[in-house]
Amino acid sequence: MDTAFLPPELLRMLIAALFVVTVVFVNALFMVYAERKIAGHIQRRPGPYEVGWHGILQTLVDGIKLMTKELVIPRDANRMLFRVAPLLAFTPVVMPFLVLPFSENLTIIDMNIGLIFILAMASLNVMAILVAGWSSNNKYGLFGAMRSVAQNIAYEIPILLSLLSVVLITNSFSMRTIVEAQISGLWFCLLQPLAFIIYLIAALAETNRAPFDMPEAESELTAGFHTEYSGMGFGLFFLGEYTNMFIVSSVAVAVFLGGWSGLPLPMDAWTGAFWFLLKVYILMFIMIWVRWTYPRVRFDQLMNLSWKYLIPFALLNLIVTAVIVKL
Amino acid sequence: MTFQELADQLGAFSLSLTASDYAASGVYADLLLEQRQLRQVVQHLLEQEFYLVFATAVSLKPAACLVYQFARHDVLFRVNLRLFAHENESPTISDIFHAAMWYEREIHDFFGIAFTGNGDMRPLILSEMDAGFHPLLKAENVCMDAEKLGFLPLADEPEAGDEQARGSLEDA
Amino acid sequence: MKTEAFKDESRHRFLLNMGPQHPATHGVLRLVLEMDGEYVVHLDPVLGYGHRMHEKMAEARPWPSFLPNTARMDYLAALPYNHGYVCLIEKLAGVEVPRRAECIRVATSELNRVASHLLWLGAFLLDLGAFTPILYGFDDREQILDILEDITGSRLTYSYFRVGGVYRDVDDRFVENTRVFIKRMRKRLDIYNKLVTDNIIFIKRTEGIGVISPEMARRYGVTGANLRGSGIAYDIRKTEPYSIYPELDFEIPVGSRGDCFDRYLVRIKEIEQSLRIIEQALDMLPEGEFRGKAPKKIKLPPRAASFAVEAARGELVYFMVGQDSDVPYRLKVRVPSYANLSLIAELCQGMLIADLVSVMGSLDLVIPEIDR
Repeated sequence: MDTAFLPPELLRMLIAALFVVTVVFVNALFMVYAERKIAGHIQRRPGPYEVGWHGILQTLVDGIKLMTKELVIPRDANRMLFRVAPLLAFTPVVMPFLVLPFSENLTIIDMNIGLIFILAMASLNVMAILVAGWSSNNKYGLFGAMRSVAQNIAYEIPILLSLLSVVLITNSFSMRTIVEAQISGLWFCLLQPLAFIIYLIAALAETNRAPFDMPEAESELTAGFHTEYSGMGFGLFFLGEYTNMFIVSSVAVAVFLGGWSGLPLPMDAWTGAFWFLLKVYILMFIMIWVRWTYPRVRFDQLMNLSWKYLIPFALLNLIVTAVIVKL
Repeated sequence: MTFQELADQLGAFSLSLTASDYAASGVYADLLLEQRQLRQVVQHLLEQEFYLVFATAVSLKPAACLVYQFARHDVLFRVNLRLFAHENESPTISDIFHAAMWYEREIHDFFGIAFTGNGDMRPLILSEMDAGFHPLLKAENVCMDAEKLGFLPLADEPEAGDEQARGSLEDA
Repeated sequence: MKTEAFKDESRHRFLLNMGPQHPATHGVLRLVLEMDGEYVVHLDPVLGYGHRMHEKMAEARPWPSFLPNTARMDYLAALPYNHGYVCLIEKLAGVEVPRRAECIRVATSELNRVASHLLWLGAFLLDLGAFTPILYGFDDREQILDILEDITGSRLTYSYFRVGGVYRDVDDRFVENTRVFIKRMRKRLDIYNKLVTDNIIFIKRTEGIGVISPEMARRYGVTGANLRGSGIAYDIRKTEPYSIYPELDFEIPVGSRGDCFDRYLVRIKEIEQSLRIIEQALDMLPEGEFRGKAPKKIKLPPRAASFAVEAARGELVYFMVGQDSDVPYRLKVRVPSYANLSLIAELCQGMLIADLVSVMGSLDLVIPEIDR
């Protein structure tokens, strides 16, 4: 390659940016369709059926509709914050893609603090919800925002603790090292089953998915923090939610489910991404399944679950792991 | 509780309970009260574990008549209390039977009867804008006499004693 | 609960306007909530958004013209409303109803009750955040609506009953379809029990929430499944039986604690009992007239009379004063939801807003019935 004109690092960045944006949008399009279709079949109805073959173009059309709609700003809202909030929700969810190990060669950057980077970016999401709920000047929005803050604080701790017990074993925050440790040994979901379960539960809460969808809680708070959003403002929150689902599932796959490892395929270094994505989408399917099956928990029950059960057990698990590793 | 028991108990308040033809009226007993007696009787009914089925009013001459229907959970025993709201006023029973709160507010909406002692006489079904508009209050020329509709005793109330099974639809 | 904190006047409180357009208020009810954080300190229901003044309409037309109005109060279970109204007129005029008509009335009323309970089940679970049961419930309810549409001609606001009988006879197809439905519904109840009744989140959300004591129920005149959930076996179909109910073999399910979960269980069991009633009514369906001889013109006698039936939501009483003409002088409709909602201010004081939503759902309210 002619490196004089375009330095490889820049080229790499451009491709990466393109790749990330594509993945985000394609994933959201696919997931919205999948969610509606799966929900439909769970509820004994066909789901979207009219636009395209089996309604396959439905989400595309919905996306166009959202983009052409007016973004209504309530009169008493804080206009600047109100506009910034959807961007705040969307931007940080793009960042973790930089360190996700799709396959051996398909990793944009292998940071030695990869896991920490993802967690840091993921916790920015709560800022967006807080800003959105606050700036709407709507009491239901504010309810959603406040719940979201409390919920995210409560659930980031078990997430971090459960991931830490894996890090104690691998001695590294690098995503690639964690995956490689599993390829040479056992998957960590077998070594650390408790941490895996805690992570899955906390991840559901972290992404504000039912049965932990407190910030939205339709029947209580109408739509919670995005009550006042219309058009693409709402659309970006939506995109953010599905991308967030993708990220927490990817982390679960990379840390607990062996990342790209699976049955051998040709060109393993690249095609390992198939196994990675398969596992991710299976996890996401489970998240959808849970959403359409369970009622919503109450807010204080949600807090109790985290502070009284998940965090103590995660701590215990961490201590036991630390002792065993030391031995 | 039977008709006789209640009649005896109310006798202590020097009230005479009138039996009513259940097959024709749907209630076993009927009681025409003075305003001052209402709260005493209603308090007694609460202690005897009656519940308030409904309270309503009928626009009549000379004054609107309030009707309170009480019933029991354990046996079939329905009682109507009747009471004339002279000067469009009547004592409240909403502190005794909480159910009466909304019924009284509704009657106030529809008939303009004020309940003395009820602290919350805001419109319930109608809106604040309808103040002074009472849809069920009849105009003078169509308002019937209380005697004619049997709301004042004409001494020919049918005598029926014990409980009759519903279904024997003898002509009243 | 948090009563100590509520006494502290210095705490910041705010008003929250819930409704009239809110997913959990099932229609156009508005609750003005005074909130302390997530806790409801005080609430004030505002009614009347769906007010149509049915009682005035009754005074302005001959009694037969009011029959369609009865279906438009509680539109989820319209047939019991029909039933009470025609029974009252029959009582006033001394009209005999043929047995076949009574059986048809009971069978269709109970079908309607099952349909109403199914919709309630879905809406209640939707309030609790479970999206799927409402579609299951609608699926089953659809079968009932099809059956009823076949014989009554309408799907929601039936005006099927007539004084002295019913509007149209039923045929063998109705009997057959209903039996198929009963068989199907029994299997479906198992599914509901697996999906909902044993669900740990559901139990946690409803157990011990919104406890109505028998004493409180009496003070507020609560009736129907809400009362039976509190352990009082009071059902007009048993205590003050009308039509062919005295001959039928069925039970009154009761709860023990009076919380949301008990009210849920009572209604689920009521569906089972209603299926039993329908089966028996179909078994005893005799040949013969479906509409008896009723006078062409009935003058309502100048006196007061009332008739009570068990509607899907509780005790429904028509109280009528005639004036020796076919136009009633006064018609009062005692609707069950009215009393059932009136206790919410006391019941929900100091509750979390999420519990308020589940209590509202468990009370099975139809707001247009309250507004009339």
